[in-house]
Amino acid sequence: MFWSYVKVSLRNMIRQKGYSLINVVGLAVGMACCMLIMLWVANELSFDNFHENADRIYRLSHHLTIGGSERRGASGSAPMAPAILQQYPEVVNAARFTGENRMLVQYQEKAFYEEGIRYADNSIFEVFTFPMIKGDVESALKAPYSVVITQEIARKYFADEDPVGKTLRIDDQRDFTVTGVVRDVPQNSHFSFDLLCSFQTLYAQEREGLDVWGWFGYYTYLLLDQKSDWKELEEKFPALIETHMGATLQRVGASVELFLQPVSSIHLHSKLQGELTAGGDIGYIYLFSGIAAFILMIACINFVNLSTARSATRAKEVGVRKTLGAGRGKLMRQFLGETVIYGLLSVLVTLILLELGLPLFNSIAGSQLDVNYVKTWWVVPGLVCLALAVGVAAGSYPAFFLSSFRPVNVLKGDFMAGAVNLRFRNLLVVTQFVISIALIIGTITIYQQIAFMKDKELGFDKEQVLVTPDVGDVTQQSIRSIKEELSGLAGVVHVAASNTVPGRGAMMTNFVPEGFSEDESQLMRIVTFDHDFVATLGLELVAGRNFSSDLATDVEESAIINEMAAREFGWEDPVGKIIRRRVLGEAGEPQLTPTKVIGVVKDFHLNSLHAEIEPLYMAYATDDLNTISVRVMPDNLRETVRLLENKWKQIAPGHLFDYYFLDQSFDGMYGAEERLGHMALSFSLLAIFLGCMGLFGLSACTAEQRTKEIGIRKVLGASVPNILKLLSKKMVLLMMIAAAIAAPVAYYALTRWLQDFAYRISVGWHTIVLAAILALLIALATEGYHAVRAALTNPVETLRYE
Amino acid sequence: MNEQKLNAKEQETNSEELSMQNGVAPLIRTTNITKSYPSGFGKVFVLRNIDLEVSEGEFITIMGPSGAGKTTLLNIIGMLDEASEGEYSFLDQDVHKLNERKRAELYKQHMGFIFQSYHLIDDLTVYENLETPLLYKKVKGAERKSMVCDTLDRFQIVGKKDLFPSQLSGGQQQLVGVARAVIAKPRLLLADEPTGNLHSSQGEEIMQLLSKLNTEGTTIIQVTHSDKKASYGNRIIYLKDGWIVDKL
Repeated sequence: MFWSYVKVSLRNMIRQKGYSLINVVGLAVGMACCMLIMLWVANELSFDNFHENADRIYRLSHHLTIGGSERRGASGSAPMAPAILQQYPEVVNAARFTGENRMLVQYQEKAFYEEGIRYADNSIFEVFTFPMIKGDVESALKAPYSVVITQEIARKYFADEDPVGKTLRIDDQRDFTVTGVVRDVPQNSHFSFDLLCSFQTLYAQEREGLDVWGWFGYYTYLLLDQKSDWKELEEKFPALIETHMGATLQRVGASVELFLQPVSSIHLHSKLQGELTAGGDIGYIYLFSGIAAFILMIACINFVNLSTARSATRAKEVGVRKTLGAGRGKLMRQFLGETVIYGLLSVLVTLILLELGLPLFNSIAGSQLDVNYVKTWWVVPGLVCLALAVGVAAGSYPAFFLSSFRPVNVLKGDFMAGAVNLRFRNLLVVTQFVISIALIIGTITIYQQIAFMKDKELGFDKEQVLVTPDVGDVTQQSIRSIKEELSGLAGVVHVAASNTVPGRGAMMTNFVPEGFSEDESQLMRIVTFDHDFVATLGLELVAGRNFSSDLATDVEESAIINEMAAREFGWEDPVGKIIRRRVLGEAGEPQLTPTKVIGVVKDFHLNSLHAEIEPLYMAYATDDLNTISVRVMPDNLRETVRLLENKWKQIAPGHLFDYYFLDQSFDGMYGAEERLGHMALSFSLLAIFLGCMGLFGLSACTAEQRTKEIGIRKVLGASVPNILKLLSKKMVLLMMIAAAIAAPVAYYALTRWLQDFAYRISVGWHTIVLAAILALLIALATEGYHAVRAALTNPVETLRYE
Repeated sequence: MNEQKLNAKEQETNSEELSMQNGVAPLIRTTNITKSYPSGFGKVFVLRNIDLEVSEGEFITIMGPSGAGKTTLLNIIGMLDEASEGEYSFLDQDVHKLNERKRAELYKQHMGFIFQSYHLIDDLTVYENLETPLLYKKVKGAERKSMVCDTLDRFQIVGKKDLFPSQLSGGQQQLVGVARAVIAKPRLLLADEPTGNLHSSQGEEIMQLLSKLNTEGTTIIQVTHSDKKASYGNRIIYLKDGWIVDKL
């Protein structure tokens, strides 16, 4: 019996090749999408689970409030870890490391800038799981000037040599001894590194802030014992803060709270300042899981619609089988079995699509997924289960519907099964369009937001500015003389020096502006630059003057602020106001130095448009700056860059000319959004493609079933346009219903997504209308083929057999 | 006693046993069968007060003009359709009181259908078409095979067994249709214009075949328009506008 069903199913599929193809390909595309997204989701959820102690590692983060502003940061300060370890027995280990440093690393002839350099405690190997291949885990990072490198770095610098015991020159200043090689950091880690220098190095160099409790510059991770509750530990922190920081905090009118974050939840759930990597977003996990489900749903709907629309071809078989003694149950089982066969056939196609689609998906999503059938063993069984589930989901209704035919009706010969379930089919078609239209609206809006961010007036001119960061480290020559040499070159308009540029962020410190008392400190970002910076970046002074190299007092006593700061402090006429800056005195004692506001610049963005513009304090310096910005002429750009490069070789022989363009770096800050946009676009296209495939099949059925009607109408005098109108009228109606449902859903979801941006567009009604019209046009074009063919058919042909 | 036997082992009870006894219950008895459809505020009647008795071994022809209710009557007898009113007993069981499953069981065991347009399953070969009713009757593999082979032999279509319906002529298809209808040895064969789509010579062959099956003991009820085809039977029932009439 079973084989008889299989035989019938296969023969039926072969006989109706077109429909079988639509069904198999549709289901396969749906399942492949679903699988890709599942792989991606599984990878996102696997972040930081590779650590053996993953369930016991917590990050120490802080919540700082000063005056009206607050900051939730992902770091702790250097003295915290030792104090916590000593005071609380439930904390069995702790590890600290710094943010990533970008430094020059040299070994013999090889010299590269490395981005992933951190200073770390040796306990990083005890708290986390980074298997050491060579070297002693116990002591690798105990001594100052020791460094542990990853396999990749070992290959890069030492090729086949054994790196342990060799020395690397880092930052062109000190030699570090390589004491170990660890395996490369897995991609599903929320932080990574290429070189780990010992934390002791920092102490040896007497770095600033190592004993300051309020210097939140060190990422701190705690390992708890098996039985302790991290929530209870958190409750003990206020006392700790009070003991060590109470007095200071009171003096500046600030408060600090410490809190813990389970390490495996950081990637998806943590959105603090100073995160180690951009991180994922649990919202996107839900979003794309939803999209996967929807795409699968569209594929299933195609199946349901086509099977029921084609039911006339199976009706006779149902009737005959029933007269031969088949019960309804048997028939349902037969049809369900058939769907499952479709599903299983699709699995084969899915596996092919998965192989082809994965590289594409990776490049779109910026992920590094691979289908490893051993490691991700669940892919094939998962697919088979998915196929069975899809088979049952898509097959149930057709099975129920087909098996309900009564022989008396279907064996008469003029049976039209199509009309029976029209309403249900329309409902399904509307569902498909709702999904498609919502996805189109989403895609358009995401791209609009990206374009908005890229085109937004930033308050400075980001075009044609070339930036070379970290120049201070590579040459002994003063930055002032480098500037002079560069500005003499053809094609160079301005050269400026600063300690940062827009897009690279800035430190935050507290100030006491005029009109505020000492315990009402205000947080401001601080940028230091020279007198050419304003012109080079095209900042706009709205009041007062720029720094001047002629006035020696400008260095210590003058400041420029942005409009936001003036607004924040309630200053109508800011020029001349005094801001007292908190600096460390000779004896390490904090003290307040007064500076006078000499100018106000129009607000400009120091960061991406995710963040609001904050009050900004700009100080003047001509030395001790490490970043050079060069404004160049738009034409002959390549020649200018070549000149700069040659000059650089003279200034700093043996060093790379390391530069980037400001506009590129700014546009690059929206990588996450662009990836999202590309993903949304790809999946929208797939959803539409699937929907169209179904529609194409469906319209073939409709046209076929209505051939006779069309023939009669033509005989009665209907023109081709009349017929086309007749056939597409329903489509327009369905589409309008779908748009009406999709619009509010998409509007709500997108408005929530846009909350992430401090500067954002709103979801426009024209986007919704555009999406609906787009979907309608695509649908009409799809249906058009069959409609036109049906309308053009000579009625003599269709009516002849009557 | 006779009834108990019937219930216990229906399919093995053959007509000779029954006819040997006097005053035996007929195979089919309908009382006052009426079929109507609601239409607007009233009803449209397809069949009215049909009283009919058919005994085992008869070859009955139902004749009448288009729309007289011939097919409907045949469908009701074949349990594909239900009467709106009236009683119908088959083998002394009240069909109108049986539930769907019991009724399906009853007709699965005792009835075979032949259709004007053959209604073979397109996706199955001749062999598989013949096999299907046996599958639904849960006949075991070896037995099923021998039954199919016997039937192929008997209808001289062994050479066609691996062909699909579309590869056969109309007459050949109907031959398979008849073979499929009788393979499970039904007591009653219902044929709705079995030769309606065939050339006259092919039609003759089918009619002779039916006639032969009847002499071998199968009760047959056929619907036809043709007096000539009707002459193969031994009793004619005339229907007109849903009524049984003596003559057209």
